[in-house]
Amino acid sequence: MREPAHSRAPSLMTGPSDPSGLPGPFRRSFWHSSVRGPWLTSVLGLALLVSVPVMFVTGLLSYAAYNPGLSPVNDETPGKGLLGFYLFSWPTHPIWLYRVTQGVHVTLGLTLVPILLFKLWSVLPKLFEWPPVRSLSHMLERASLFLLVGGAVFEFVTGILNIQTWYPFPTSFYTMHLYGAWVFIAGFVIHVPLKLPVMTRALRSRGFWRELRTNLAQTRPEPPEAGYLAPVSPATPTISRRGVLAFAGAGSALIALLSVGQSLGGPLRRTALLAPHNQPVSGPDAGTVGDFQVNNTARNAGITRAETGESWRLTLGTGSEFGTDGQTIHAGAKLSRADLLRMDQHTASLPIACVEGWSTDNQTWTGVRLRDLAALAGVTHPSTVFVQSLQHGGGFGRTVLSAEQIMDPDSLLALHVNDADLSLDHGYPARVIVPDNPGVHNTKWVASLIFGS
Amino acid sequence: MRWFRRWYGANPLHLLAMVGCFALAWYAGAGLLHAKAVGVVVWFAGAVVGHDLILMPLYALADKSVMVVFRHRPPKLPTVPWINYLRVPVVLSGLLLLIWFPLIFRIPSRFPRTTDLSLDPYLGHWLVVTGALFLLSAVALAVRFRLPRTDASGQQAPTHGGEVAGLPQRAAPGYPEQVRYPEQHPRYPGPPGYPEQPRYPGQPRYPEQRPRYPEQPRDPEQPRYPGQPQYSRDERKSPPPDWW
Repeated sequence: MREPAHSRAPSLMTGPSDPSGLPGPFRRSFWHSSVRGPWLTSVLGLALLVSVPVMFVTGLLSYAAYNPGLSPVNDETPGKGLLGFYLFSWPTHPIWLYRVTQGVHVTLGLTLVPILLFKLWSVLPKLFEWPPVRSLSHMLERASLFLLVGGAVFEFVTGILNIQTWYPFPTSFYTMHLYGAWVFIAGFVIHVPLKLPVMTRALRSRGFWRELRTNLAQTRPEPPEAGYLAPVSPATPTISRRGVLAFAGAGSALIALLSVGQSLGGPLRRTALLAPHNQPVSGPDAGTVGDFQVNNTARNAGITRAETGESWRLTLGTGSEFGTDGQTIHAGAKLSRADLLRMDQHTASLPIACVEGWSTDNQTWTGVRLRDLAALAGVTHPSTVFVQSLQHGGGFGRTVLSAEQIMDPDSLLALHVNDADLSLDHGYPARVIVPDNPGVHNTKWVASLIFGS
Repeated sequence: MRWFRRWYGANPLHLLAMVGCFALAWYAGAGLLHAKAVGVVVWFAGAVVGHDLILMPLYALADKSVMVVFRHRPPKLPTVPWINYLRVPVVLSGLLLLIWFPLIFRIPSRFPRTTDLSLDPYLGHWLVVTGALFLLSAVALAVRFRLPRTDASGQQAPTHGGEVAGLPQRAAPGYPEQVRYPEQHPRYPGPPGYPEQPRYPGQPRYPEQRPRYPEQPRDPEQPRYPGQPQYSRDERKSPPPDWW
């Protein structure tokens, strides 16, 4: 007796019969999406091809901005070896440089999340391609894809968790994110030349603008000959190709819209509904110093009123080889805050930009120039300065600044901000502020400045 | 050179590039593994497994489930591709949750202490954004309902029983057989000029490429499309069983 037709209908798991006889996702006909195909993958790939280098370069710049080559004190990843080949002395101008590069790094990274996810969705059948290994070259290629996909997800996860100040990592964020980036980029530089011809061919196979004019009713699957990603048994399309691109783009736009405010600062900060630094400062500083965020409160750093009161003295001194075994420090003059206030005061308008991507508008800082303090310490041509904070524990209690940073006329040991005394959370009695310096290197609650020559 | 291709499967330059790639990855990976080998490997492999074998299948399953649940109710369903009005807000809201779940669920417990900022608003913000997305989507769907649907040439497209609703639906008992593409509909104004599609071997790819009248005799045992399920016309008389 003839089987009734509907009992031969495909189910989720078995699908229509396929000559390969493979189970589930290993069978090409398992993949039904009628928009999946080389063209769609190539468009999403092109978006990543343009933006991944931007991410990589801004990431490398952020590492350079810490001046890790200057002293082990600044280096969060001392095992970098040859990976630090490009390091250079981080400039102090233009003053918005770090604010822009790091804002782009974080905001663009968030924006790329949907693009990456859509791209990975579009190539998912390839993960299950059968046979898993066709030749030695194919095996190596798949191994390099492990670096690429693993590295990409790894970088996004570590970065996204870090900007939310959640650190569930097995080791330091800097170690994970920096070396992970190089592992990812190793996979990326091999993936691009291998797939570039495939991408160009796929992009030429369908006109981009024509595809943008193709509505759902006219959407047809790419022909099976176009490549493994094209469906051999397409289902009725439920979304057009332009719909998929608009979908991914809408995701990116939404994420950017809800987070970019924390980097733009000012009144736009409140628009960053989903970003860590989206609120005006509460706490003891509320309303006194304007729209001005911190990432390390005095309470968190263990700073007390007693340490920063009348008894506080700034130690000037000379020394060499900071952060190494051969470190020498000769303490010299001790200055009270009143002594500092009697020196030449200078005003500079500078932003604060954090590695986590948030930043503030320019704030008006007033204080003593670092180069005047160097002269007072008896060093006319300082090569470095070793800045130490009062803070107990926590990261970045000390830092080393370069000659260029010391000699910049806008580099200050600030005593006032926005015409008011520094608040305790902002580093009272004195803090370093250097143009273009990453936020964590603008040391607060400064205890000593040791100049090297 | 030919023996090399046979043995390796690509040209020597490919091998050279691969060796360079793995050397760089090894060098950088050593920095990672030196720090804490097991933890880092778990994180790296977890990234791949978490995405490819957990996140993606979950999404696919959710999408398929919605389709399966709604596919057999054509009379109640709108004739617009409503599935995307559900997909878009769900996925966008899910993306935001995926990125910001630590803030939303107040996981970084030291955050208020280090920044003097509160973690309280994030759950509310996310819910508000999610609500707004669903509301916008509902409004867009309502507007879509009211508008007469036109095709690319500005002509009013024929309305169908639900096949353009974005679901691979089968006809319910008592309803005329559904067509897969609108041009198969007898009232359809004509081929709208598709991009050229290569053919399947021996068969035109799309119905509009086949002669229309008189209808070609077709072997009922042969599938209409290679690899596509085949439904019998008799189904109208004998509805599918309950489990379907």
